[in-house]
Amino acid sequence: MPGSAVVMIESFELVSVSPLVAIVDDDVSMREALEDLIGSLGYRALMFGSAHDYLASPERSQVACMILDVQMPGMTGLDLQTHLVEHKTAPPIIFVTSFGDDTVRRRAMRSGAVCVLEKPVQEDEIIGCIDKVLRGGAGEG
Amino acid sequence: MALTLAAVSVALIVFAFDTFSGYESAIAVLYAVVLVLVAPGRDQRVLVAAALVCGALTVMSFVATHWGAMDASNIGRVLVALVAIALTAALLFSRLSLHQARTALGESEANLRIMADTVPQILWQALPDGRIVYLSRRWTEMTGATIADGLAGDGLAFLGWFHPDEQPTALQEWTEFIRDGVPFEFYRRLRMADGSHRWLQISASPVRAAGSGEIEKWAGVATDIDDEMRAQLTVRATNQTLEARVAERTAELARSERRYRSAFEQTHVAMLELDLTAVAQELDAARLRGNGDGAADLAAHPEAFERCLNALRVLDANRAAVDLFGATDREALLARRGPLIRSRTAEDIDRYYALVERRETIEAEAEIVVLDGRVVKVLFGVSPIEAPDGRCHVLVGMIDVTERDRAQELLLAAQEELGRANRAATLGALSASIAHELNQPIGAVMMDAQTAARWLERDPPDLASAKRALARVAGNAERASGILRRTREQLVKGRRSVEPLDAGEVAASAIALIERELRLNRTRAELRVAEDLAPVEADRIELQQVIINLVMNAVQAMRDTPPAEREVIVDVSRAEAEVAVAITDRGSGIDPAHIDRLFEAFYTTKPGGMGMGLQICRATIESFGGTLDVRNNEAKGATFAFTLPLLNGDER
Repeated sequence: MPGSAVVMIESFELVSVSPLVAIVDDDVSMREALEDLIGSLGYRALMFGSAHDYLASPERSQVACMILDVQMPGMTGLDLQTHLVEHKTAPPIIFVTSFGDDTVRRRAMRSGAVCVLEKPVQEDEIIGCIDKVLRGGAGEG
Repeated sequence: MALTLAAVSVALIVFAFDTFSGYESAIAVLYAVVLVLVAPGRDQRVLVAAALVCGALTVMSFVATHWGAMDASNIGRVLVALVAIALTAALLFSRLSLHQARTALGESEANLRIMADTVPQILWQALPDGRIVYLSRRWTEMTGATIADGLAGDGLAFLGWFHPDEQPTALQEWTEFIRDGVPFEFYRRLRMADGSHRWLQISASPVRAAGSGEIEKWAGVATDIDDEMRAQLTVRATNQTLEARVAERTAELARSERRYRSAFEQTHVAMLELDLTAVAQELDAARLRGNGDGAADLAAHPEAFERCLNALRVLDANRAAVDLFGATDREALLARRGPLIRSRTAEDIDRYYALVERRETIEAEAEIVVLDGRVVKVLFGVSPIEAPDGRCHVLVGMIDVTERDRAQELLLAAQEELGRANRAATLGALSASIAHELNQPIGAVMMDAQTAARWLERDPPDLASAKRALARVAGNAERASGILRRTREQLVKGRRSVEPLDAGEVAASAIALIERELRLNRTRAELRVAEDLAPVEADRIELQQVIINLVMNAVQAMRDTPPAEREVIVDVSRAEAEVAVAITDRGSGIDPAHIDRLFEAFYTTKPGGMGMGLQICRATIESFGGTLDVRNNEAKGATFAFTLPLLNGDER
């Protein structure tokens, strides 16, 4: 799997259309870890410390995928999802949460989330989710 | 005297005329005149002598003038004269007798009157119907009223002098006395001349006619007995007062007796009156056998002590006692035989001697076996009480404390449960917060490590990126460790109140708190506290928690030890400038492979354990400035030992 992904990424790099992945997480260490992971996969990453920062960003229309933390001060991940869905500006969302809370999972999935992953996140799980979004999106596009 | 002279003159003239005149007549008849003159106020013998003299003179004159010429006519004349003298004398004689009798009577009457008037009583007489007809002069002297006043009102006015209190019934009573017709006596107060009243004793007897026995009159006497009466009244009043006092006191005693009786009956304290006379005899006998030391003798001869205890008798018991002993009624309890108290210690023997011989009051706690065989724990007090004939009676009061102890046990258990729940809740909240806080760096570490691997797997490997990722791994690991350290510090600090403590006392209170767990786990705990302990500086609750934790660890370590050997020793001793506390168990000890990891956080050998206990204990002790270590014992089990510095570095 990882091997084929790499091949695929390299093919994207060739056309120099590197998809943009938004990372919204209040924890800086998680943000950094995710950014590096996205980079190692060959995508570009945009990092936001809060939902408001994301909403204020001019680049968000180009975002192809979002990795969203559930537990955040102020607007939570679920609130942001709801807001984006209502404004029909929601990119495909991969949720990352500390709590294996079924309610959170159901709400997120009902609103169209691609994945809901629990921390600590296993590498192959999150890569699988990103591939699903970007490869599928590329196939459609 | 004049009459005597006249009589003698008349006698001489008659004699001279009769003798010398020669006149033939019965001139001697005139001697009667002499007698008449002599008689008044004379003795009868004088009269008789005068008559004889006159007779002799008549005969002498006759003989002198008619000697030799005596004839019938002159003899007749002389005889007439003599008869006249005799008759006159006789007449005068009887008259004199009558006069004398009269004189004597008059004197006697006067004497009686004087007597009646001089005796210090009022003498009185009354008609058969009670109307007074005579009062002696003493009446006037006493009442100041005249006798006529007293006799007025148809002979009943005297009643008006009686005391006003007696006035209304005076007449009726007087009439009743009189009507009974027998001697009577009564006491009344009479008004005196000065207005005061004096007590009189009035007694009366009926005087009956000789023949018919009809009452002719009443005679009586009224005696002033005021002084005696008053004295007597005073005595009577005093007696009455005394009697009243005695009655009052008796009533009071009766009331008090009733009161105590009712207190005895109604109190919720079980009360028994025991007869220990036979017990006392047994104790005496034991003293003789033991050469003065009865206690030693009874201790050596349990059967003798048993006999002694069996000798007590229940004399009385109140309602609460009947209930306490589970008896159907009082009689059932009184019929009970045998000892009351279950234990048979040397102390029990001493108590009996103290109670019976030194008559001391005793208070203690004991277990008694009641009628239905249950064992009841009681708090009791015994006091000797007064008993007749040198008997030995005691009063026992007892309160059932079984319920109290059970309630206390339940309370302790509830407190413990609450404490445990609290600790669990605190730990739960704590672990959740730790989990959340640690999750971030740990999640980041995982991801970074995996990403680093990815950079390295590239061909060619991106070493710079891998290095950056690994640097983040180190940073996040550092952060996780910082969270743990901070948490631990928070656990042992913040709610601290450090004060001078007696470590021995804290250890005792800690053991008391888990007494129930110890019992449930059939484990004995022995506390040894050195005598020369100085105070240490620590937080009481935290120190208590550490000791509880270590003792509970010891208890759990002995789960597989036979119950007879399950023992925890808590030893509190002095060491240099510290107090040392060692908790030793007799369990299987600690696997030497694990002993070094024992104090690591989250390290546990217990199923379901958090692995925080010993970590927190050590941190707590270290925060007090002490150390906590563990070692396996040479024989069996392990010892957890910690030290605590003395207060202010006190070296004493």
